[in-house]
Amino acid sequence: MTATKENTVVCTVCTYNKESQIEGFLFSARKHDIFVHVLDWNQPWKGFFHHKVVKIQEHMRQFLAEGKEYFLLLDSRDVFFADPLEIMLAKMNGLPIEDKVCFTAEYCYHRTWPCASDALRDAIFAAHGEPGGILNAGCIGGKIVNYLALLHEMQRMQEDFLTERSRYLCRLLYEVCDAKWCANDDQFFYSICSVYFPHLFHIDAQKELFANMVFDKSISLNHRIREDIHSDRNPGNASILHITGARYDSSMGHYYGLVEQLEK
Amino acid sequence: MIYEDNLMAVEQAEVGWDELKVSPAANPPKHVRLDDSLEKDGWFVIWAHAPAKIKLVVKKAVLLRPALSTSARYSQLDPIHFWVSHNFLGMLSIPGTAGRSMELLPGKYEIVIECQNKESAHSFMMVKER
Repeated sequence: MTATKENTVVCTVCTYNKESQIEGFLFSARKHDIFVHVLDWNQPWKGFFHHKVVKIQEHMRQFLAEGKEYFLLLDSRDVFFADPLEIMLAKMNGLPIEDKVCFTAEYCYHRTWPCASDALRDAIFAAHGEPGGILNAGCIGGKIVNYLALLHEMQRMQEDFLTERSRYLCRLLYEVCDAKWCANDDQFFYSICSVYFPHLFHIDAQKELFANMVFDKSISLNHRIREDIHSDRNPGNASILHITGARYDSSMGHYYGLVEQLEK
Repeated sequence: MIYEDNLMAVEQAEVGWDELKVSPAANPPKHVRLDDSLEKDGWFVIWAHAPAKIKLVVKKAVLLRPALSTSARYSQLDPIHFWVSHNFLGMLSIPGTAGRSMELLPGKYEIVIECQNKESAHSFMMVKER
């Protein structure tokens, strides 16, 4: 079975109340004729765990009931599409995700929890054999049933976090981060889960589908060729670009010809 | 239910003036004047004067286009925006023009048509089975 336009849902959890807050994402979707299911629109933000672990399970079950089998769950404010859906799905179908969920990887030094990121990076390397990457929760894709299985494990993990029964790594991270904060940070939480349930995760370290990037005006097409694939300025062949933690920057649109297309 | 056929249904509609109407593009509602360059074969017109909010049920896969009547006002500074369940459908300011079509699979959609000044904001949409 493969992902097709008909059996795949592209969605985002977005509690904003104005489209202008995510216009870069929406305009790039329109450019490539991708319809995005916007979930939890205009609802009060109750934290990552409520929206992206508990409620997302309800949404995913609903998509299954509607006949969907594959999903792409993306951040909205700092993500945009670089290819049409058909190309994205062809790339996704080429990934080894029969029993796994595909995540994007982030290679940069983490600003919020640098000590923890070193420990995590080592742990993820040991579990997955991919150097340098920490999971980022901004782009996720694969089979809906696999994702539901993963979310189930995540719910169990949160109990571990909050009761401090968790394993060595989690306890180590308590030393540098607040435990409750750890349990409510999506990137941190997915990364920890990827260490303990590596069989459920595929990290797109080669940027075949997703890329985490730092974007500025100096980037040029030459970077695709010159820079190491793990550079946060190299989009690789990715179809979905995540400008980690950043707002949409019009320079991104100019770089990919998005603004010019919209102005025509 | 405001309108229903075998292609779509309009469950609810709030429009800026007159009322929502659906008819074949070859025989459009009274206040809609299509530019001659627009293809009409197989297309239906949903007349919805901006600003508008419409709950649309799509029964078969369709193509949806945003459009302005030739009678619409021209305002470069106040273009009319069309959104489909928060997805950007188009932005038009020139009378008689239509935007690129969007493919919609069967399902429920909320369409929002926005502008600042509703004076002569003669917006409509064109819909056709894919």
